[in-house]
Amino acid sequence: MKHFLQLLVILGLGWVAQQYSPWWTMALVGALAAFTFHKRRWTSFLIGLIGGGLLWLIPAMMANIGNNGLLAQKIGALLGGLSPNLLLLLTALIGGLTTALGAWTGSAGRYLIQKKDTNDTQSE
Amino acid sequence: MKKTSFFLALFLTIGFIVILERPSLLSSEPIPQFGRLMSPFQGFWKNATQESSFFRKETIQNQQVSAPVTVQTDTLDIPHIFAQNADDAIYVQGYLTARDRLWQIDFSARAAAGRLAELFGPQLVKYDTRQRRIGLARAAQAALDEWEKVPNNMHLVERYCDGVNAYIDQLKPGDWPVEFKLMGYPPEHWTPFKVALLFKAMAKTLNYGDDDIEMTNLRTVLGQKAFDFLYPQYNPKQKPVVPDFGQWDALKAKLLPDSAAIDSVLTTATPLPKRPAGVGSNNWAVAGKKTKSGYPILCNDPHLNLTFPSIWYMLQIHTPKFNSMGVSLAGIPGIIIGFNEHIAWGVTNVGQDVMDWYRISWTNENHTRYLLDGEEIPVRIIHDTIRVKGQEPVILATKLTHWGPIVYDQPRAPRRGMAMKWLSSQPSTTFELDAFFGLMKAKDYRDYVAAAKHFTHPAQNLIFASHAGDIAIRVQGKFPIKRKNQGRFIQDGSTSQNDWQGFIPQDEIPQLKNPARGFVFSANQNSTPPSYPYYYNGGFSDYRCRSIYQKLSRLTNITPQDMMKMQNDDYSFKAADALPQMLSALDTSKLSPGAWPLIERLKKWDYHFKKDSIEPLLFTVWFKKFKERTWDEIAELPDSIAVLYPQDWRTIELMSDTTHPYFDLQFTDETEDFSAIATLSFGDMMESLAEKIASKNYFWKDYNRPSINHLARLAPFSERNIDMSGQANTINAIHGGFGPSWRMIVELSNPVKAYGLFPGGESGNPGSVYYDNMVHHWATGKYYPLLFLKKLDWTAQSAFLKTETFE
Repeated sequence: MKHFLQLLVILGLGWVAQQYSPWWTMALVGALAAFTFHKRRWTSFLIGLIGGGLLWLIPAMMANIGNNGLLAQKIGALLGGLSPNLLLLLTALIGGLTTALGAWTGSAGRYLIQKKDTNDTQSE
Repeated sequence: MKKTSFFLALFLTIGFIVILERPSLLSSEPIPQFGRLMSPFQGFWKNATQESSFFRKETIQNQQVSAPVTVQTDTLDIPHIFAQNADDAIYVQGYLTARDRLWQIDFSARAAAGRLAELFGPQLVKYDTRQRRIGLARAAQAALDEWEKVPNNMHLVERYCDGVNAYIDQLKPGDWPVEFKLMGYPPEHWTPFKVALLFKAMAKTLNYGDDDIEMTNLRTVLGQKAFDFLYPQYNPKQKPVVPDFGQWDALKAKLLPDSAAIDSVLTTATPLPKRPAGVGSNNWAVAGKKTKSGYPILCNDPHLNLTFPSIWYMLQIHTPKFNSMGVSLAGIPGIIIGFNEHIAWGVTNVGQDVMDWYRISWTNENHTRYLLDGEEIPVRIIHDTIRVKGQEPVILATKLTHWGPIVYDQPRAPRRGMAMKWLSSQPSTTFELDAFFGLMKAKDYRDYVAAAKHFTHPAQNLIFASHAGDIAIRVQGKFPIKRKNQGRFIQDGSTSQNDWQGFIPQDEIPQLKNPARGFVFSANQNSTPPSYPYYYNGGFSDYRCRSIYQKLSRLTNITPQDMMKMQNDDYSFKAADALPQMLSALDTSKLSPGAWPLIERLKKWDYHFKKDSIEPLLFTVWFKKFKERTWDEIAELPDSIAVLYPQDWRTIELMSDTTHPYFDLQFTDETEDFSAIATLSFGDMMESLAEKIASKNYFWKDYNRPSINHLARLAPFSERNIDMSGQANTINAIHGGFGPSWRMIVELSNPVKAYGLFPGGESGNPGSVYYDNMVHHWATGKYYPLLFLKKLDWTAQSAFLKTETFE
C-alpha cells in the first residue's frame, strides 16, 4: 500500500513539476518521494523507475496515438532509424531512469541522515 | 558505506542529467538537448498534432484588435480572415503565419542576415561572411529608412509584426516548433526590419546573378567576331513578353544609345559556381473571347527552389472594403499572388541583369584607396561582428566603394577586389509592398497600373485580368538605362562614365493590354524583341514561352480544366528542335547494334518528358554529350578561366550548318562535321547510360529527381525523388529541387472560380498532416477548388476544421 502511495506521489508531484520546470526535476521528485517514504534503496529505485517511466510514457503514447505516429516516425528517422515504439520506450526509459536515480539518491540520503541522527543521539 | 552509496547515487544522477542535457560534451556532432527533446511535457511529443474530426469553435483573447476578427479554417487548413479593417486583418495574418510557420520565418531572416554561425558554429562563417558583404541587412535597413519616410501602408507592416509577436509572447518553450527543439535555440521577435530582410532575400533569389566574368573571358579569348557569332543575345524563335507593334517608334527617334567601353582584361581564377538552370515561372491570361464562360482566365505558376515549409502561405482576407485570396510570402504581410472579386494578378521573374561588376583601380597594396575619375579616393570600411557558436566572434571588415561593396577578397576568388553594383541594394524609392496592398483592393485596370508602379524590384512580369474583361501584362520594375553591352561584361570602375545612366521611365517599360490575339503571357523569356529602344541584357528562357504561345494561339472555348492540363504539360520544344536533326545526322554504321533499338525509340518519341519513359533520358544525356564534343574549343580552355557554353538554342541553330568548323574536334587529324559529332556523342551517351539502360528500371524521373527539401535539409522532413513528369524547359518546369512552387488558375466569372495548390501544406510542423497534404495532388497534376467566401459561413460546418475569434 505504501509502495502504491509512493508511486502516486511521484505521478502527482511529477505531473505538476513537469508543467513548470525543466525535465530533470523528475530526479528531485524521485528523491523527495524516496526520502519521505524511507524504503530500501532498490525498492525506491524501482518505484522511481516505474513512476517516472509511466509519467513520461502515458502522455507520449497518447500524443503518438492522436498523431498516428506521424512525427515519431520522422524523429525516429532523424535519430538514426528508431521506430515509434522504440522512441516511446526510450522516452519511458529517460523519464524512468531520471526519477529512479533521484530516488536512489533520496533514499541513500535518508539513510545517511538517519545514521547521523542516531549518532547524534548517542553522543548526547 | 552509506556515505559511498549516497555519493555514488548523487554522482550517477547528476552525470545522467548532464549527459542528456548536453550530449555535445561527449561528441563533436551537434546533438540537441536530448532529455528535453524526449520529454513529453516539453519535447518533440508536444509537436505531434492531435488531429480532431470534430469542428472546433475557439476564442483567442487579449488580442490587439480594434474589433473582433473571425477566422474560419477550411478543410485544406487555409485560414479565411474576416476583419472590420485591414489593420486587424493583417495583425491576424501575422499571428496565423507565426502559428504555422514560426521556425521557417525566423530561420529565413537569420540566414538572410548572415547569422547562422551563431547557431551552428564555425563552418557557417563563410556563408555569413558572404551574406554580410553582399549586404542584405544593409539593404533592408536602407529600405526601411525610406519606407518610413513616404506616406504609405507601413503601419500594416507594424501590425503584422505585432501579430507575429503576440503569438510568440504567449509561447512556452514546450510550444516551440520542433526545429527549435532539435537545434536548440529560441525564436526571436519579428520586426519591420526582418520583413524588409525577407523581401531583400527574395530579391536575391530572383535578380542576383550575372555572367559578367564568363562573358568577359570569352570575348577576350575568342575575339569579338567569334564571340558575337557564338553568343548572340536574342533568339529569333523566342516569343517575347511584349512584341513590337510600333508602340516604341517615337521613343526610338528620341534615344540614341551609344556603346559602352568594354573591359577586356582576362580574369583567371577558380571557376565560378554555376547557377542552377530551371528557375523560372509561367503566367498567362486569356481574354473572355477565348474562354467558354466568356470571362478572362488568369494562370500563374512561379518556379522556385522547392522547400518544406513552402515559401508560400495561402489565405483569404475579407474586410468591408475588400475581399482577396491567394498566397503570401511567409514573413511578409499581404497577398503576393492572388485575386479578389474583380481582378486577378500573378508574377514571373524578369531576367534582366541588374547586377554589374566593376574592376577597381587600386592605388595601394591593401586595397584601401582607388582611382575614380583621376582622383584617389579612400574606401569606406564598415565593421560587422559575426558571432560564432563555441568560438570567439569574427570581426568582418567590408569595403564600400562608389559602386558598391567589395564582396570577395580571398586570393583565388574570381571577383576578388571587384565592386558589385546591385539594384536591390540601392535605397528604395517606393514602399514596394504597396503594390500588393493596392492589388488586393484593385477593381480594374487603372487600379492595377497605379498599384504596379510601386513595385521596383525584383522586376516581375506582372500579369492581370479583370471581371470587366481586360487582360494585361507589364514588365514591372526599375531598370537602369544602359549603353549597348553595358553590364554584360566586367566594367572599368575607374571612370564614373560607366555608371548606370538613370532609370527607364515607368511609362516606357514594356507593357501590353488586350492584344488582338486574345492572350498575354510570360515565361522568363526576353521582355521585348531587340527593337525595344533601351538596351538590356540578362538570362532568359527560350522554350517554355514557345509552348505557351503555341497552345494559347490554338485553344478556343477555354475552361479552367484546359488550363490545368496546360500547367502540367511536359512537351519540350528544345527536344523537338534538336532531336530530328541529330537523329537524321547519325551515321548508324559507326554505332554498335545496341544503338538500333534506342534510335528507333527516339524516332517515335513525341518530345514529352514523361516520368516513366526512357526517351527523355536518352535525349538529355545525348544532347549534353553533343555539346561537350561540339564546344571542345571552349571546354578545353584552362580550368582557371571561367566560361560558359553557347546557349542551347544557338547550339541547335548551328546544326543546320553541318560542316561548320566548330564541329571539328581540336585534337584529331580528321575533319569532323555535325554527323560525326552526333554519332560520337550518341556513343558517349550509350556508354554513360549502359548500366542504367540494361537495368530496365531507370527512367526519366530517376534522372530528374524531383525533390522538396526541408529548409535545414533534414532528410526525414523532406520528400525526395517524387514520382512526376516534366523538365526545366517544359511548362511543368520540374527539375531536381526546383519547380512550380504554386499553381493558380482563376476564372473571373461571378462568383470567381479559383483553383490552386502548392507542393507542401499550410502547416510548417512536420508532425501535422497539413505539412505535406497538397504534395500528392501537385505531383499528379490535380487541383483543389479554392474556397473563396463572400461572407462568414456558419452553415456548412463540414467545410471547416475550426472557427476562431480574436478579440
